[in-house]
Amino acid sequence: MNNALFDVEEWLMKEEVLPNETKILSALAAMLLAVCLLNTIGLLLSKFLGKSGEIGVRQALGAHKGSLFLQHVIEAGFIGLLGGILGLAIAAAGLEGVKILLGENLMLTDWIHLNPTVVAVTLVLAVLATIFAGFYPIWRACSINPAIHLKTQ
Amino acid sequence: MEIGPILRALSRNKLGVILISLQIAFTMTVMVNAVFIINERSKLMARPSGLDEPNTFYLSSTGFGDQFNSEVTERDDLELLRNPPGIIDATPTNAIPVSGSGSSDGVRIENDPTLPATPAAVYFTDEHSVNTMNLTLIAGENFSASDMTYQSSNERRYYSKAIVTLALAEKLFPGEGLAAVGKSFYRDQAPVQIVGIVERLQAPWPNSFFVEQSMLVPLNFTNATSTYLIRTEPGQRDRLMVEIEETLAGNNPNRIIRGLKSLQETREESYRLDSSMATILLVVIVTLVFITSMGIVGLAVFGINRRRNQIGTRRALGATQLQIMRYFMLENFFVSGVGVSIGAVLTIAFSIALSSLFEMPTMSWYYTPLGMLILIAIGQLAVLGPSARAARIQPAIATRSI
Repeated sequence: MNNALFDVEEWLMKEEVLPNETKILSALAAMLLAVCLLNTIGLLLSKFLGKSGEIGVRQALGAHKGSLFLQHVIEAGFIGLLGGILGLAIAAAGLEGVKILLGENLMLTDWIHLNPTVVAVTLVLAVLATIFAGFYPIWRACSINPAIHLKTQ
Repeated sequence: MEIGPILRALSRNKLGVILISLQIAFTMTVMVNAVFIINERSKLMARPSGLDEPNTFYLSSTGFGDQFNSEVTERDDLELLRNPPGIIDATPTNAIPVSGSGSSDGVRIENDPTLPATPAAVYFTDEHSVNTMNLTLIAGENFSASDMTYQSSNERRYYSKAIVTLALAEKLFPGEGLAAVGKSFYRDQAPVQIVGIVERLQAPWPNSFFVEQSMLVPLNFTNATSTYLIRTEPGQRDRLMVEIEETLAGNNPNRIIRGLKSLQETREESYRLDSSMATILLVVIVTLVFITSMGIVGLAVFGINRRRNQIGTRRALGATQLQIMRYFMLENFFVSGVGVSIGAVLTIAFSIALSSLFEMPTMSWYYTPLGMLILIAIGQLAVLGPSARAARIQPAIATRSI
């Protein structure tokens, strides 16, 4: 194996070029995502439970549970998409900040930009994570007995 | 105190409590570990190089053409460099401390190439280096002008005298300390005598595992490029940097002057990744604490709005505003208490993972309890506004809604 040829990415893996900073920051970012998702669960819970009157009416008028569920999954996914787009804008601003921090080291700053993969992964992750966080709130909101809500109105 | 009612009310809203306390736990884990990493970085960045950094700068001269004589030029340059008022001293050197680039040698106390060698950074310089670098000679003596040898850098290096750092002396002759003066070690199978020991001089590589092991050697290379390290009196550096560059450039037309830089600039560049990491982590901490306190405010407002009638009733039955506030502050205290308890476990687990995966030092014991206290304080601050609003709910609400 002494004379093996590597392309750049393989070589980066083999030589373990990725600095520890990157790995530590990734672990911290994962926890940041966890905190945001916990927050999202709380917010969606109060949002969807606040709509229980509307859900009750729709159920009483014959809406299928599955279609109610789908409606709220789409709503949650849309919130996630908006969040992802906003997040990308903030990330782009943050990268400019990082460039300023690293100074005029051209070797590094040339590599710092949002590429299509990062954009795609961010948007998909934002949508999926928000839908995941929305499952419990949606389930709670859709499993309300419509009769009780209609009675109080 | 209304501890019983608070706990019973919380047990009705288990999910809210779990969500917020998990958030607090994760926030604490990130915050405490990030603060620890920042502190470790600043400790690394605060290590002294041994030099008088604020008053030191350096530049290189590269000659060209047949007319150029490097030995004569270097002798003339050094004379010019040492004379102007405001300059303390100047020395030729092959490497600049903290810069990230230099030479090293493997040295042994036995003349046996099969034995493992001790690595040491080598500064090829002259008898002015101790003064220019502001080093403290704690044993032995400085080089004299007659110790100097000159070589082309293409030849096999040879030197017989060295001034070593105390750390290198201790590494080579454990327990002997200053008594290592006069002893010899071997490099490339030739003996080198330790003529002096300096207190501290860092190797040029801040992240090296032998950063404190370096030595000065009275050897100069006769190549076209010379690098000069110059130390000025306090406050004179910026003026002299400009003047010296002009003087040297004007002194000899057959060379170019390059790489004029202060040691402070060099330090900033070398530690830029560390200082950027610290700033990024600080932004992460502030963001997280903000998100979590918003979460706490949200939960509190939600809980208060749901209980407006109860609050009004309590007020109507004679509870003071302070008692209402105390109720919500205490409620938050219990939720935070659960959060920081889970957080303490997570924090310690994460820190153990970091130190075992990335060879980081382990966290001091006080970080975790301090983090717990700070997050409880943040929780109390976050809930201060909502509970003050709750306290202002009119008692009349109790009768109005019946």
